Amino acid sequence: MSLLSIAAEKPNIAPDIIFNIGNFVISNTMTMVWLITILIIILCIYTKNKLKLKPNKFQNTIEILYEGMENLINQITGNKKYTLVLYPLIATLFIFIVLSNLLSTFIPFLTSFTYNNLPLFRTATSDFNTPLILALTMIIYVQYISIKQWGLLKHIGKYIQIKELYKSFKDGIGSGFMGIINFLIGLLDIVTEFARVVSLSIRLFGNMFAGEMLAVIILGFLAYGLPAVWMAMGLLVGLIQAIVFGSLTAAYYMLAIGNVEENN
Amino acid sequence: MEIEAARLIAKSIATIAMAGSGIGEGYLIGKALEAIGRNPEMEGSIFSKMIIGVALAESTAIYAFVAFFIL
Repeated sequence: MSLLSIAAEKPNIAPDIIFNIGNFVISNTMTMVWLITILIIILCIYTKNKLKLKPNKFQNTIEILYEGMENLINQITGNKKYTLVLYPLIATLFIFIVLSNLLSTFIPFLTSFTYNNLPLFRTATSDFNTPLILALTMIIYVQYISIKQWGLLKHIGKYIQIKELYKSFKDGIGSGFMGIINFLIGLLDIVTEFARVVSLSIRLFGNMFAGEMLAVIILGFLAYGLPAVWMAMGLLVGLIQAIVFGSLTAAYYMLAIGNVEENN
Repeated sequence: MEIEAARLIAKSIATIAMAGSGIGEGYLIGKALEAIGRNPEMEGSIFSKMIIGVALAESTAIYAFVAFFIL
């Protein structure tokens, strides 16, 4: 039995704390985020310095990535102007999430570095704090964009639709009751905003955490062959989740400013 | 009831949520195949959108999976 199974440690939900600076806790997912940030900065500087009119292989790869992401965002916005506005945000999100999902798969020995018998790096998105902060930042940013686009009063009016309620009662009792229902639906949109944060963050966290957990379980009952298939599946999942996170953020952004053109 | 027993029952109830994900994914992929059958030139576009939709539908099962391990 021991021939086929390898006992591996099940990952904890909470990350390991490496050291403290005062009250500030440094966990191993945080060091991973720093590593990814440094990698992205190095990649950007390298790409910028190597730009040529006649591209080499490296620049070709970067250009393919750029155009792929541009097409993806263009499909959601359907408007070249908004694509240019949204591109830096969504592309940064996408690159960051792809790297944090897949870096420990691309560099397998990365999680083997230890400090005080604790792993120094861990997949950043398999700790709930990272996706939560990403999702929270994005939803707050979308709210900010909505306020900037519509003004504060109109933005609040999207959720508490007193004006529409008054209008529908003016038309008659029948449409007044429909107005009450619409008013309640408007109130429900406040809940929707919170649900967006929860669903965005848990989707990303759950996929990566489930991937790690299932890898351990698969190692437990068949250690040969099958884990490789699961890791290949994990590459796909990591990529798709990054695309889903980016495109959902873009879709929320477009929903927040969407009706402007109809009104003007 | 002992706490351990209650926990096991809660875990089994959490896995029921996975059924909904299965239904959703089956419906999605079936409809996508139907669309590809009608309009084979659009296969690339439909397939990539289907994959994103499957990832969205799968998230319900993933929530259940996470709840399973947290409980």
